[in-house]
Amino acid sequence: MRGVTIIGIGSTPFGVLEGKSLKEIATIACLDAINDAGIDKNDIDAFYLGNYISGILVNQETIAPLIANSLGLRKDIACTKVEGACCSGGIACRHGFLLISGGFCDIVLVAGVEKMTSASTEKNTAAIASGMDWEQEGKTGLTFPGFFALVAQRYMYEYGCKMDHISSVCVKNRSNGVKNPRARFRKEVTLEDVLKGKQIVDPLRLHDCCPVSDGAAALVLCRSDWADKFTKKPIDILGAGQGLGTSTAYEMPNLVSIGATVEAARQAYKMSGIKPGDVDVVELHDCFSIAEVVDCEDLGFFEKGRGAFAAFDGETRIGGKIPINPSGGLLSKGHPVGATGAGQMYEICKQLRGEHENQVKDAEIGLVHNLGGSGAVSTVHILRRR
Amino acid sequence: MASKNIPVMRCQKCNSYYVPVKYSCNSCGSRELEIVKVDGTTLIYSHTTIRIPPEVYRDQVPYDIALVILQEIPGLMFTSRVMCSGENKIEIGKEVVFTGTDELGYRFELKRGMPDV
Repeated sequence: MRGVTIIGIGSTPFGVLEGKSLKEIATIACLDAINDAGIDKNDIDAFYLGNYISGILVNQETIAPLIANSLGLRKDIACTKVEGACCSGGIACRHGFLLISGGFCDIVLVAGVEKMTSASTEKNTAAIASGMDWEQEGKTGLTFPGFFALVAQRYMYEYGCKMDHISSVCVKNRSNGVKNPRARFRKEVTLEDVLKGKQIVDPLRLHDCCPVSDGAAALVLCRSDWADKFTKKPIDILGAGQGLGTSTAYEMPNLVSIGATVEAARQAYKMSGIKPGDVDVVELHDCFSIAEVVDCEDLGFFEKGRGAFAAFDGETRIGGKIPINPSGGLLSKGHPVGATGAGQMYEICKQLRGEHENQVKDAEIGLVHNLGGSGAVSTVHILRRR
Repeated sequence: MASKNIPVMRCQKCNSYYVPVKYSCNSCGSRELEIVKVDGTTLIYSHTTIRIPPEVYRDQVPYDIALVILQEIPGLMFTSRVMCSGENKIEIGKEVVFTGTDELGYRFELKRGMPDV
């Protein structure tokens, strides 16, 4: 298996990108990554694009060829869209990794994009809900926020914590987001603000839920032995995993653990030889406050039942035991669904290059966790600077 | 009063149980699955109140959704609408009674009578 290295990164801000189309934001992020890598666009051997619901929201499909043509990529390369709801960007990255590590390509462009804020709330809610098993569970009226509310309720019951502990994740991530120019929300909130917020889906309130956003992010992946030719700050992908969970809440063997995350992490740790204790910085899928709590346990950073207390005690802040989501996470950046996974990779690369606006000191090893559907699919990537 | 006549799917070859509809048995691969009615004690495993629904359910909010376990068949759980009335509040561990299925799937209601211990 050949080594794979990230040599270029690009990202638009996440948020309301008024007047900018899906094609425009994806093109900008890809061009930024290509320029950052210092490659010629004709060096690119394949293109993977993560996207979730552009067909429903902006009536545009076949978007991998669309963006490839917008960029003027070669006509002899495969341009493919991948979809796994909120995990689409992570899956695109992993597919690029597989093509290079398998020896089929030398340089691959991977990206994620979503354009959401031009569609109505009703259209967004309906479109996002299409990621559930509609035949089985969506029909009951359960939503994605509802799924995570069920997890939160059970989590508090099993481990004796309160929303004070779980929602401390929001306070920490919103504080981190203040410094991040790519974040949609850049204002701090207090725990009192969160606990008095509008009830959305009991027990989750407004700040416990990430906002929809527009955004795009892109990475140029390259065979490791070529990386030095292009960049002084290569970031090696040491491990990449993808796991399958259940498509419904009622099939989950354990509601307070996401099986897809556990499996993706197992693969990535095994491939890389890295252990949770070796990791310096983490970007994980905090679509809801409770998601970060469950994720940080499933990824092996805390024992089951400890995640919420750890956040409350400050162990996941910068300077704590393991800094989680120094970018502000989805709770601050917003969640342009198909772009999120690539955006998380972008943030960790900035950290490992020592260039992040909210830098974790001397970060050498980073972990990226992306989750899609109601626990249906997850990817984990482990990165290290040279 | 325990829950009666809850429709579930049973594999005719290996006796595994599923929430309908299942097109093949995940244990043995058989496609010989049949609907059977089961009885038992049904309890709240987790619950939530939906206040921002998919558009089609806009006129129904707020509504309670719960995961309900059937004690007699471990591993079988139902994502369900649950009706609560009066002071009787939905909580994990409380017993519910099956009231039927419709286009929204399973429906239960909180068991009336003696307060839960």
